[in-house]
Amino acid sequence: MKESLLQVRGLKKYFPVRGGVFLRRIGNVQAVEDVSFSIERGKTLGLVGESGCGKSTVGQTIMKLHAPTAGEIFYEGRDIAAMNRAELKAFRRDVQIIFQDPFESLNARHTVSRILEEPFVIHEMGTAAERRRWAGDLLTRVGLQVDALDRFPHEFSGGQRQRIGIARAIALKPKLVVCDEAVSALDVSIQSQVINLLMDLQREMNLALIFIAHDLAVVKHVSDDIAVMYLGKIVEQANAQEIYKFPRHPYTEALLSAIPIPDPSRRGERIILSGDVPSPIHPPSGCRFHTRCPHAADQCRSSEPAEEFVKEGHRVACHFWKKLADTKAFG
Amino acid sequence: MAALLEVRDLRAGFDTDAGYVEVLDGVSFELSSGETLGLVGESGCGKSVSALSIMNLLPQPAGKITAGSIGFQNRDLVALPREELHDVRGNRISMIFQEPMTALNPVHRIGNQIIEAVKLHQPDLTTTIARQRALAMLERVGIPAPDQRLNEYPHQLSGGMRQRVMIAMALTMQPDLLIADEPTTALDVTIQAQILDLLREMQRESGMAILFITHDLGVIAELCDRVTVMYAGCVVEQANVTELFSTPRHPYTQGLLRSIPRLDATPKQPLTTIPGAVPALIDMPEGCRFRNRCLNAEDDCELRSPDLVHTAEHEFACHHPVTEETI
Repeated sequence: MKESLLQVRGLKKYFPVRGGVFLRRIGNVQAVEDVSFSIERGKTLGLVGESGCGKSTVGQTIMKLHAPTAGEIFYEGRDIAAMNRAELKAFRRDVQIIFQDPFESLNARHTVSRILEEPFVIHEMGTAAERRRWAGDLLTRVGLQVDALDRFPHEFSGGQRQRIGIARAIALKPKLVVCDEAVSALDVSIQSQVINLLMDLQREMNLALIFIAHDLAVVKHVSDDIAVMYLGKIVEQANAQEIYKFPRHPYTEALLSAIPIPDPSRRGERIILSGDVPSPIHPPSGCRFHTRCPHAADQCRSSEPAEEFVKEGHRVACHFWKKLADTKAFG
Repeated sequence: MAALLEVRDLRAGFDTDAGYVEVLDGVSFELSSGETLGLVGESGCGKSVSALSIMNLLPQPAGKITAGSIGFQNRDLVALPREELHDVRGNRISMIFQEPMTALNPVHRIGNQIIEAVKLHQPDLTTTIARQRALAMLERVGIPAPDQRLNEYPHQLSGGMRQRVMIAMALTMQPDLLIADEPTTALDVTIQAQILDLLREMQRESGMAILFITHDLGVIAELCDRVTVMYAGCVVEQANVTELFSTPRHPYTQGLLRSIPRLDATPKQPLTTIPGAVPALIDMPEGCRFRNRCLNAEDDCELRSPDLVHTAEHEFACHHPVTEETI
């Protein structure tokens, strides 16, 4: 079997909740609970779910910005927790991240050229003149003018700033870029420009992308595979077309149907879930979705569903997926 | 039937260090009872400023209305004295905002905040009766265990619940018009679906009109009867919702509709884009404000800004509108 670029196995990340006079650990936020997936070179994995489902934590843990509580992350076959200095430096070069808010992720006191040259400085690449030329090339690549080099982030619009963030992320020719809500803050007309840019770069550089977003329509557009998360767990994982056409988990189905479609003739085809997402400090017993699931039964409250294969490449964690699929096919 | 709300040639703007900046360049729209009008556009197009102008809530002293009228129930809100305005605001027109956490006071209990709103408009009510009203309202907007919630603070509620509280507060006085400024933008989609459903239900019960401000065309298609599209402080197109989505006439509307990634589209295909970005308020182009980004633009677009053209089902401001063949 071909080796995956990145493989995540049984990833768990808990954050401590502290309280009392001595700030003892009194509980855990179970942000990520037993998550497994892999991503191939040049492909896009979409990670979707509502706020608090743990999708950003997964992205940050992959970047080694958090140490996992349990589980393993393999990059090109090497466990990232066991990497030595040299390997880690290469890893940091190969894996980059783009954040949601380009206002906060660019240093307001640095010029664009300093922002874009910094990766080269850190990795001791090139002379000052070369670095400046490379920075200019990067700007052109993301659709900005070279004269932007001597300006400051505040002189740019949101969309342009996000382009600068992208230029910085691709500076070291990475193999994997984590896009954490990278287009969520942008207006639609700008959002489509940035999505197109990301897809172009991916094709050109054979980039793998982990695309984290809450907007399912955007995720579906850019992704090869999609993993749907709910309260720290992946509830369903499949090819993007497949998951959209044949969602097997009741949560995926509800999430898809909740998206307002820009077509007034398709009003009211909604499944409306009741209630809110429960707290990840005290997740529900059994299946974590049972408190909001229209199909929940006793079994869902007592036992946690294991991931099952619907078919090759399509996994779902629901006790009743088969029954529900049958009802749909014959009902 | 006469319109409930009639905004005519509204001009508004702000005094800044760089001088006066005009945000609204002659905005007109109207809204009838029981109707939902969607006001859609990108950041900075003036949709929120339009809403704040109706409520006379432009930030003071910088914000001001320089021309135009806002007719509401035979009164001009622009010229209305403060006391009469107080009667309209909250009583006849209510407003809900994007971020209910900043709209609610974090150090007061939910119940007291609603009771305060009730008593402000009906000072002769006793606290007990006002409290009963608050309780009934919370129940109507679908908050579980409302008597317990009355004693809680805003931070104890989730985002969706807080927005329900805001809606409850806005509707206690049974307003004729509800202005909803991006009320679901900060919410997750499954919660957004709940809130949209709630607004629809409340409207069915009370017959109020809703002015719904959003950047999300999906939400517009879901909820609104008619749509007003704004760009750079101007109304560029206005039509009923089916008409607007099926046959947009303004190139901007068409561009917006095409830029949205759709669930049923082929993935990984390049999206249609609108080139460039919205011009800065202090540096508006002469003539049509969209011409720098417009594929249909010709010389005359630079010379003169287009007026709203009225057809039977449609209004649009464009010298070279999208025709049937190019839709």
